[in-house]
Amino acid sequence: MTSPIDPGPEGALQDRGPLRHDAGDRTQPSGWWHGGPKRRWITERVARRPVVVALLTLGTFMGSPPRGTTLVALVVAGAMVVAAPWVAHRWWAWASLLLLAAWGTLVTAPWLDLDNHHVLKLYWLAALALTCVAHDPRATLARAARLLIGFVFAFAVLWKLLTPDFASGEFLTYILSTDRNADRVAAAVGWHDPEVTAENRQVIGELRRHVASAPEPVELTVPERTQAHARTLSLAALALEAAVALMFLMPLRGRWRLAREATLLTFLATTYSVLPVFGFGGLLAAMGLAQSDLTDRRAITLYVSAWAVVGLATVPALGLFG
Amino acid sequence: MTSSGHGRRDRWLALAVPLVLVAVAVTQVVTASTQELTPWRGAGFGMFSTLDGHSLRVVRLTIEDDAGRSWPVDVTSVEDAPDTHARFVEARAFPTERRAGALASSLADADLVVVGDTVHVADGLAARDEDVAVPALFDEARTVTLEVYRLELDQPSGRVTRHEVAARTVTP
Repeated sequence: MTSPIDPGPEGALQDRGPLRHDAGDRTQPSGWWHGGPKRRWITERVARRPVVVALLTLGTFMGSPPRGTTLVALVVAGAMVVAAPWVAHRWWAWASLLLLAAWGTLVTAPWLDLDNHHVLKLYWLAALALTCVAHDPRATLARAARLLIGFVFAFAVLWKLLTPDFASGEFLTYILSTDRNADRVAAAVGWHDPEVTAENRQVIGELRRHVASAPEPVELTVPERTQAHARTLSLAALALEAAVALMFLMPLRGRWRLAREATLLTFLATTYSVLPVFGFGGLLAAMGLAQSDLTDRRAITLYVSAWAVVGLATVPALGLFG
Repeated sequence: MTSSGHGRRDRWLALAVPLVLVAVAVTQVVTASTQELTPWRGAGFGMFSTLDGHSLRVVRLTIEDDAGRSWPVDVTSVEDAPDTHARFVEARAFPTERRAGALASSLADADLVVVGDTVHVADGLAARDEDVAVPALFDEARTVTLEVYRLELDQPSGRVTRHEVAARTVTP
């Protein structure tokens, strides 16, 4: 049986060379991945991990452009990567995008108006640019991606532990009772009626709009089932994020490395189906692919699928619980 | 360069950006834990962890005119108007004296109108396509008071109360 883990000459962080097929793929020369001249063109030129990482990154940016960049610039960059895949290995290509995005993000917009994923985009562009000049770009990018994901989740967990309203379920109860996206899920699984949450939104809207005159406190209708599940969901989310942080920051050997893929892909598939933030989820999928220890074929299949699921969940008409 | 030299260089290239992330996030965690910064902002990855989020915060603005009369301000128009938007979101996310002062100055520079007994930023009303054909103009603001609240939910009862994060009275 072929190992799902890319063996590499001396382990996961060793050079596998950006332009080489990995051993796992060479053992399976037939099938959809390798059949026909058109597919071979895709396999040899486009479906290489660094190129797919670049395309997922640019695709995420097209769906949620970093401030300062324009859709046209991103489409041109994506077309360049497809037509001339070597562009994905040039530091100046990523540095140019980084400069545009940094200008738009840090200079023209207030720092406190930025979502965390706006900043993560800058970090990722910087990592892509810097690692191009490494002796072993692919392994260096993999390590940078692994650390970025690990630290993002570590700080997310830290905040959820520091704020008492998360672990108690208060935050998720409120979100499930008022937020449009989360509401879809709670309604789909029968925890409450969407009309109830629409009324809750109206009550909160009044409190927010008429601070001086609105009666306070206001009462939300929160069904018991929502309350009960909110605490369980909160603890499950905390455990999953902590697992991602641990797996990505701990040195792992052998098949234990698969735990990284398992935790991150589970997080992507569950969290972003409920609270779709394509700018964050799509980027995590691209970073996940860059660091993956799986063979190229498996890694690309898994992370492109995860990226697509996150993307589709953001389209209300196609949302998993829409 | 030797292979160990290459290895050391590659390790630093891989570490450089994650170290920046950690430095920024640690600063944010310390600031938001000790001051009024919302955990959702400042690149500390505290989003979806608490009800004290920037967009979940409730803001009350009051302008006192030269005659000493207090006027409530339509906060939505302040948020929607291009000239006051940036100062508003900063003051809401981190309501320090300096940011409250900057918001007050941007309000003083904006075209303010009175509709009913509420002061609006004219551009903010226009952004919502609301009729501002015959508003009474608002002349002078002597002081601006910014109050920022966070919401708290009592789970068993479903009761939502607001709790003050900061209150600042500043002169534009």
